[in-house]
Amino acid sequence: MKVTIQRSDRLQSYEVPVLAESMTVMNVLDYIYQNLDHTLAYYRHSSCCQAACGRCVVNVDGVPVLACAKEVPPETVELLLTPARGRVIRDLVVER
Amino acid sequence: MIQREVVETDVLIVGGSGAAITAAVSARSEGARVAMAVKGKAANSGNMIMVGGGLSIDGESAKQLLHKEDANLAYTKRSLFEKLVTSSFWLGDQEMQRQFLEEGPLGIRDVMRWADEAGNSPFQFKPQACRWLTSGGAFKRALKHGLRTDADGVEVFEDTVITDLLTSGGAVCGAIGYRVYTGELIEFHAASVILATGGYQPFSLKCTNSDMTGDGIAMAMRAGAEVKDMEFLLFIPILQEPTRFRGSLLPFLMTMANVFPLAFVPTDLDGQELAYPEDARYHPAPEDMKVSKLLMSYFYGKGMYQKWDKHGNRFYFDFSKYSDQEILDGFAAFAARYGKWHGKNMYHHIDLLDLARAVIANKKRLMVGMGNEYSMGGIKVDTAFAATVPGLYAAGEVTVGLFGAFRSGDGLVEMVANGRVAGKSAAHYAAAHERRMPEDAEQRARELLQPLERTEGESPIGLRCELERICDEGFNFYRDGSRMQTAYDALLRIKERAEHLYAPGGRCYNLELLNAVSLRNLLLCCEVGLFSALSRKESRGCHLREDYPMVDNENFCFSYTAKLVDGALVYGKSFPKAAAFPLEHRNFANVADCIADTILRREQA
Ligand SMILES: Cc1cc2nc3c(=O)[nH]c(=O)nc-3n(C[C@H](O)[C@H](O)[C@H](O)COP(=O)(O)OP(=O)(O)OC[C@H]3O[C@@H](n4cnc5c(N)ncnc54)[C@H](O)[C@@H]3O)c2cc1C
Repeated sequence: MKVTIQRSDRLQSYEVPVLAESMTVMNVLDYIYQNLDHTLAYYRHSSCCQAACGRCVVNVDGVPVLACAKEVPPETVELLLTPARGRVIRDLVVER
Repeated sequence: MIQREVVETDVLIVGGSGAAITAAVSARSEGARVAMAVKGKAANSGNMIMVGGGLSIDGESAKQLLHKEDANLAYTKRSLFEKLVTSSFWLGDQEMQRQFLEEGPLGIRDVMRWADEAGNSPFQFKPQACRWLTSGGAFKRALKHGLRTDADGVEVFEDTVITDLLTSGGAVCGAIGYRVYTGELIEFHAASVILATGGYQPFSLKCTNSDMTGDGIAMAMRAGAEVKDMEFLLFIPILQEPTRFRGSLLPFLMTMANVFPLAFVPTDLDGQELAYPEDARYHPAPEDMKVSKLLMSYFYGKGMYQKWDKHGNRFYFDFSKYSDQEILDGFAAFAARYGKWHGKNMYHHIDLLDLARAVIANKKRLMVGMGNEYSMGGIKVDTAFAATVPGLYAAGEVTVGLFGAFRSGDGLVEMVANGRVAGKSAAHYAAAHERRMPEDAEQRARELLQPLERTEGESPIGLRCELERICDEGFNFYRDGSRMQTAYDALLRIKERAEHLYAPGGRCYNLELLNAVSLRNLLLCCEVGLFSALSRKESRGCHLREDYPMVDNENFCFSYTAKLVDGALVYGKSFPKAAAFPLEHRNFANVADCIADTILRREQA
């Protein structure tokens, strides 16, 4: 799957394998950060990963979702992640 | 000098969840100036927002303080006290346990008032069990309201990670950290500091908030404070798959017959049943359900451990005795119970009917694993919640002493009970002591920034993932000496590599910097936990050993303590006192028998 991320200064694409039969946007971001690019910034500093804190909002193909709750089907070919509305801190992190 | 913002206050509270907020309310009511620094958002961070069950107090207090006329008076303070002592496997501090039973209901009375005033914060009272059912969402709304109305004037610094305590002449006099978004350093000068940062969680399968990196425990140690009971970590069944729901505690809720109508068969991944004996003495009555967490760890763990190399921390809840419709109906009935808090058919983001369909599609099996819910170990405190270093206080899960080797009481009640006392004590200390200038701020600032200044080195997240793998393998809910030794040796190697962490990309929201901080803290917590676990050549509470199954009261009825002296770990022992209830001198063949005989008081057939 080709994942394109709106970073602070450019669009950057990553090739991400199908991690599981069902995964979330957060799983995809974790994979990129842990394996492909240690400089990627996305909301992760006080995160519940159970849609309880509501803080990991990001746009998937232009639509705001919680990264930890939004499913990425395994047949996805391309995914575009951009920052949600608000003051962008860095990459996908928005002050909320 | 490294540039940093300086904030002066009387009492600094580190953390922004239940223990922190109740401490803030109490310190403010004593007239102290209070600042609160929290990694996430105040009242929307920590494990409090993950809560899935509820809380209980004694019947008399429910009736007198909370006006629950129908509260079950059979739950007396005495009976709860005895349960706390035995469930702690005698390591609990009996003075703290008595204090908890007095302070807890007062703290819960405040929470209920805040919940009423805030509205849309449902707490449902079950008189027979003398228990309120609730959710993390309800708790956060109540606590947010409490912070706003009853702790007026508290200066709150959100999205601010405290990385170290600051000291002067051996006393704690502040803390240093940074703002996550900007990377700017911030230094607090305070007469006293309360740590309310929660527990530690070093495994890859999690149901806890990502805040749980043992920050408070580790920074207290670096400031010279003593910790104990670090080998005791509590586990519950949580979801492994579907991956999109991984970490949810739903499977634990499914183990309660009064909540979930279907009875699953636990099996390993080869379909072999994980035997849980029929014998009634191992089956707790509803009022003792807390201990079922430990019994499941023991019985499932025994079966799983034989194939640990093959399957690891994975097993099934098998529903194949039910038809598809029965499964759908069962999950629908389960969902109806949670609608009030999570919306129709939902539990947080999980559509329970969707989950039921996933179970059906997966040969009627749900894949689960044992996930760490709570850490019993932490900072040693007295009944004023003072740590062993002057000026330092602690409250909530970050402390140790109340629950010993197994938490049978409610973490939510602990957090508010502790917060109340710690806030007051820290305010009194601040009133009696001048604020001092920290001696070590510059050095701590330099240490914090080191990973940003290197041009190459180890990736913090890389090492953190390795640490998680090591703990999954050798420090999990079921243990043996050889696996623990392997884990301990591997941990020491990671510790060496962690001297050279590298966090590229500047200060602004740098996840590698955050993980550098977390890794250092987790490593220290795990080192102490693993060393204590290796030394404890018996099983006790949540420390379940395959090679030493016996609960050996003759030789091990004590806590392992640890502290840093000149940078080196020094271990010791601390023996419980029988202040009001006798200690147990008999040994037991294993943890399950000990539970049956002493907590459940079931005679052997
Ligand atoms: C899934 C789950 C379900 C649970 N269900 C129940 C239940 O039904 N009933 C019950 O009684 N208990 C339950 N518990 C346990 C209960 O949630 C905890 O015992 C309780 O939340 C502890 O409160 P606390 O205030 O001590 O810590 P937490 O609630 O964990 O809060 C810690 C705070 O410290 C902050 N922090 C951490 N590190 C730093 C740092 N370096 N700098 C600044 N701030 C920091 C965090 O952001 C957070 O604000 C559950 C736990 C989990 C994980």
